[in-house]
Amino acid sequence: MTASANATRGLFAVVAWRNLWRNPRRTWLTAGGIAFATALVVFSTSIQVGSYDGMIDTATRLVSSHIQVQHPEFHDDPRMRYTVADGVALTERVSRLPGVAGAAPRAEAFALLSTEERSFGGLVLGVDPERERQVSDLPKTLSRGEYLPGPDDAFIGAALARNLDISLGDELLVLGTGKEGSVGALALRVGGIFETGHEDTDRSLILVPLTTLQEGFDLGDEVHRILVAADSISAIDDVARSIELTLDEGYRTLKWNELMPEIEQGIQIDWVSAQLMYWLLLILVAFAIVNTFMMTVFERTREFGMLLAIGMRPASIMGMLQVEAVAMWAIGASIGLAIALSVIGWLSQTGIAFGEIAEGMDEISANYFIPERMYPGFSLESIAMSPAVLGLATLGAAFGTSLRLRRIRPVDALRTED
Amino acid sequence: MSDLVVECRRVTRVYGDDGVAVRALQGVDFRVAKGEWAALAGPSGSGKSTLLHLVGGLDRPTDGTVVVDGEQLNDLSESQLSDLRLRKVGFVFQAYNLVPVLSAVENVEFIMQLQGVEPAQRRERALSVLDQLGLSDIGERRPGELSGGQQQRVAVARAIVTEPVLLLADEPSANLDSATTLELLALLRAINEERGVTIVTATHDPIVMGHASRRVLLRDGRIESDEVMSSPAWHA
Ligand SMILES: Nc1ncnc2c1ncn2[C@@H]1O[C@H](COP(=O)(O)OP(=O)(O)OP(=O)(O)O)[C@@H](O)[C@H]1O
Ligand SMILES: [Mg+2]
Repeated sequence: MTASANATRGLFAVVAWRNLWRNPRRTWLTAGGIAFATALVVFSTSIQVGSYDGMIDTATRLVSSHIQVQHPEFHDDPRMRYTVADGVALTERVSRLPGVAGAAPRAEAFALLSTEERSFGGLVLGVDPERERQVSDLPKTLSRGEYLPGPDDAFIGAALARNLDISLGDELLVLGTGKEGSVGALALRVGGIFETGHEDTDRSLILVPLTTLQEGFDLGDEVHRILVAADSISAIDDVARSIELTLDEGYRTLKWNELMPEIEQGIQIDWVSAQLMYWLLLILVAFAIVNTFMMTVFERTREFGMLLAIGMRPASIMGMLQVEAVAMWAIGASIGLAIALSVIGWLSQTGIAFGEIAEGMDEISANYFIPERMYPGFSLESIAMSPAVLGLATLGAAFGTSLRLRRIRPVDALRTED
Repeated sequence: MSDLVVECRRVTRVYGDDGVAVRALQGVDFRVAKGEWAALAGPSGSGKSTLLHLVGGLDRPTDGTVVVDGEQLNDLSESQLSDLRLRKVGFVFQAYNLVPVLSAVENVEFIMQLQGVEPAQRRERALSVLDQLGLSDIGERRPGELSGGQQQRVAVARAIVTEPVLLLADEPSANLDSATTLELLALLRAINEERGVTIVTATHDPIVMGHASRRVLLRDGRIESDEVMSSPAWHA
């Protein structure tokens, strides 16, 4: 019984397959629509996913890094006194956890930055000069001088230097409030100037050695943040969890999306608006599929009438149309996937350089954290979504239109003269 | 005669239920015995096709009963009727008998596949039927590559390969020239005589009527005359 059931299906498949090629132009048009939509959606989602990863990477590497450990209150209310004690030892501990690429302590203070003539407000970061290299790209953005060569040297943003009208070797006075409410003061010399391209950062940030800031602002061995870089973006969640497990209560572990919520919101808005476009495209293609099957059923009314007359069940004819639908979908989806995956494969070797695409892109990318060279990102979900949606649409279209079969009365179909 | 294959009692078929109802058949009594070849004759619109469809389980009477091979068709559901057509009745229509994308052999196989015959067996039986009907040469051709007469003969092969109790043919010669018609009729004759297959044909064609063993003349949905042919024309 099973053997004959299989054999019956085998012949249905023959009829279905040959019918596809009875009107090759129409089949290719429909399969081409499926291929086009599949390729486009798969390709653009992977570019999107890739650009998000790149954006997160660029943004986190600039200043904040992937994960931070802070005093529980500090993130919502960044006061001087909400510190983490013995920051250096804690940094050591965290840096040895699996999946951690590097960790660095930071203390910070808002202060007035003054020369003899001018003053501006800014944020002073006290960093461990060596460790800082593991968690942020700030040291790499050096444009003149040296990156923190000695204890009294400051590493300041290019725009800030311009605003204060100072240059390498000039003196800079930092005045603020120390941890215990006393006056915090540092007398520094401009040792190096950095230029990230990110305007806010270049205008308001200065780096000094951690111990210098701790001494000048009564911080002792305390710090405000421990920055942690994970091995990869995808490892962030696991690393954050193991940090939480390692530390006792009294600390708060924050991930990049809590540290920079605007980046995650930007990504979400972009994702949702792209999804709308994709769905619109998929719906259009689904309509084309419905149209194809309507025409098929209409043209073959007499054939179906004859088959019903000789005793074929409507359900079997519907099954035959489903096979036809699946075959058409398989052709289109595999062509679409093949195209998308080979382009993605090629781009993941070479990357896409935004700077080369348009003049002035460099500045825009720096301000929006768009990486210089971007690579497509893979996710099973983004690859499977459009073939799956189109597969369902194709089956649905074949099923929906073949419901009309139930209205075909064999006698009427056979009477139809041409 | 106890060996009745078809038994219609007081069969009425009315098309359209509003004011313009057409009474295609009006209280027809019609029986066909095993081994007979009954030709339904009569002018256009007299009800030949309607009667043939009722007998084949393709349509249901407005009134009256139809019994085929002992089965009361009024009692059968749509899917039971479909099964009856598949297993007991062979059909040859005026045109469009075949699946266009299948070759002649595959068309003959297709109906056996619907019946669930094993693949090896159905190929063998299809080839043997085509051989017996002298159609071996054209087995691999598709309907589009066959003449009208060849298509009709393949349809006959498809209709008899399942060994139905009843073969129904509606205007089988309407699209054929007279030489081809004679070939087709010789084929039906052989099937009727040698295999004992009961045949009912609906036709305008005097040549077809001449080959039947019985002629039933319909007029305005009623049987006007019903005569057994003493010496069918094919003997001449
Ligand atoms: N589906 C239908 N709806 C309405 N009237 C119909 C339908 N089918 C047949 N009729 C009518 O029923 C009557 C008998 O039709 P039928 O097809 O049985 O005649 P016929 O003897 O086969 O004619 P022909 O020789 O032209 O094939 C005709 O008046 C026809 O118009
Ligand atoms: Mg007719």
